[in-house]
Amino acid sequence: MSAAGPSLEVDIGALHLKNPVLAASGTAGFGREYAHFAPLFGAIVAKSVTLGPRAGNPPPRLVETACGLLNSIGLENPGVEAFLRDELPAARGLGVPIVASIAGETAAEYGELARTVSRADGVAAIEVNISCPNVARGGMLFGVDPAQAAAAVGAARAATRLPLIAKLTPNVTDVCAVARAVVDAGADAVALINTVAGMAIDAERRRPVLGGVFGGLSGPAIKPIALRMVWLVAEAIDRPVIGMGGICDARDAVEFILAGAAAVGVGTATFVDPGAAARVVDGIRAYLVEAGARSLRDIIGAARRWRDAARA
Amino acid sequence: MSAHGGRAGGGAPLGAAPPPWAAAECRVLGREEPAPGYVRLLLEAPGLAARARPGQFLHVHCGHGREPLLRRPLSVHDADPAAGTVALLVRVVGRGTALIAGVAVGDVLDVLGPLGRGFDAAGGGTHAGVHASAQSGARADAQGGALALVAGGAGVAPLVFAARASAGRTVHALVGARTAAELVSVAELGRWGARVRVATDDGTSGHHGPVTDLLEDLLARQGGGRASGAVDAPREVWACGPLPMLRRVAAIAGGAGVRCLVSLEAHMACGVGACRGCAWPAPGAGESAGAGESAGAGESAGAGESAGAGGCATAPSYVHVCRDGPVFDAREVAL
Repeated sequence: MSAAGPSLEVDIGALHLKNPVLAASGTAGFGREYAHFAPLFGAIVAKSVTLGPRAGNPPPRLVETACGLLNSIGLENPGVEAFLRDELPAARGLGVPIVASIAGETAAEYGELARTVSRADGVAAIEVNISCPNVARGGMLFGVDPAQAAAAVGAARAATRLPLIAKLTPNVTDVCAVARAVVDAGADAVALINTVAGMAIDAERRRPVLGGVFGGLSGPAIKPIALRMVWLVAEAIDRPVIGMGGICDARDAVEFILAGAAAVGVGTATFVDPGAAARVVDGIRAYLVEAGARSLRDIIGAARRWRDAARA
Repeated sequence: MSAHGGRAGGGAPLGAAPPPWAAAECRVLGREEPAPGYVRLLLEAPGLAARARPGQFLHVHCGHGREPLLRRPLSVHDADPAAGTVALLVRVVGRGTALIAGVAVGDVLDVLGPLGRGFDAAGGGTHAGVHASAQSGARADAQGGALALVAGGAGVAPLVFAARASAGRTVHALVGARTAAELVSVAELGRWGARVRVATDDGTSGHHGPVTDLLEDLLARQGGGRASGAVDAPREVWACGPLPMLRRVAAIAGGAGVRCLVSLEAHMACGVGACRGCAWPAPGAGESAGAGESAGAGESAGAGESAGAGGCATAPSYVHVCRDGPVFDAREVAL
């Protein structure tokens, strides 16, 4: 970064990022799968881990949809201990902050996972995943209810001093109520959206396509849904919002930032183009230069300020 | 072995090792339609040509937009390090493959690769802990004995490269198709010295019946297997084709005591082991979890990944086609 160029640095609670582009959980594995692209991210949010190993859902796990991807992975992961032992040391060497993502089946499990992860060296922050739509227990069941969401985040909060990011689901009536609840329970930031619940049916075989029947939709198809929710939540809470959902290029990312996101996540786009995040970073910088902004912070929520000004 | 023989996963330390795969923009040097619905593309890709191994795949972007969204995994059909070229054999089965096949000479294809484990790496014991039990069997000397290649339909795609790389061995190439007009790459296989026999479902060329009949015949006639002393007796079988064909090939090879490698295809998102989307049941696990429904055939000859998710003896366990494969020892996967 040129010293004269605009600053892309941003703080998510105590988590300092050199740029605002995160790898969304589940889309960059544990980091090393994209080792040579990893240093370009502001941070990598690792794939969510559970207390024990999970094999994941039966295949098929993927369906391509119009401008989107429906998945039913089912939190396949080697378990938190194997993550710390086998994955984190390599991830730590990538030269980028690693955010561990945890998924429990009970509030107490979120506490245990947060405590376990906090003992390790090299975890910069914890994402509390209360929004996975593809598991029978835990996951989204926490994220759809403000009290349950608060219980999970509260248990993690009691177990760690690391910055806590609550990952929210869009599959709710009032996302702001959930956002307020997790902030009250101690979340330092929220990230949204996780995938939109959906399904696909095979007309020839007359049965659901996905082995898990239902899945979560990601990709460009969900961007307008995500943008609205980021807009709403950024108004509802006084903590940083990490916006994600269908971001493919810098223009998409800037829209989320203008809606109030302090940082953004790139997910499905990485599958298509491992260099997508790097192009997003470069494009945000170019946007700031063109706008004459000295810092990313100058444009966070700018579209909302425009609306406020119009009202006045 | 390639200098980049290591893979992105599997517990290998990262350090300063060069990436095992890369993104590349490859100019299309040639395009031909060897059969209805098939397009053969020749790409200028010196890096890929130098590193690719038979059975590996490229993850190819479809067109230039966001629809269709995902890349398509395509087997490396051939690679010529001296010429710096790589060939793809595209069977058009949907919009994505139609876009890829529709490129013109001079256009550029955006690819990731080379990806996955090829024929010479399958069952090589690099995935200890993931499916160690499946690898406890004998491991054939890659240079020892004759080799039988079995292709069904578009499954011939990776086997031309396999024949090139096996040019020093006795190679029997058994090629099956629905009809004579859909037989592709027979001449290429012959060019690398393979003894080619063909089979068609409708009897318009070669044997009238499934290509697996030819394998049964070959193994019976040649007395293939460990017990045989015949010089031309196949000691291993490499197969790519529809799942029912692979099941039959694995059964025939298993019955003859011959090592069998199969190249699987699956829908993929990332192609590099990150998304865990291309799970495939491991043997003896996950029957109740839909093992029989797992052949979510991709648009093209596909590819794998090791999630390290094994280790739980009672739970279903999966391998991943993009990084653990696409080529597996037939004993590593539930077919």
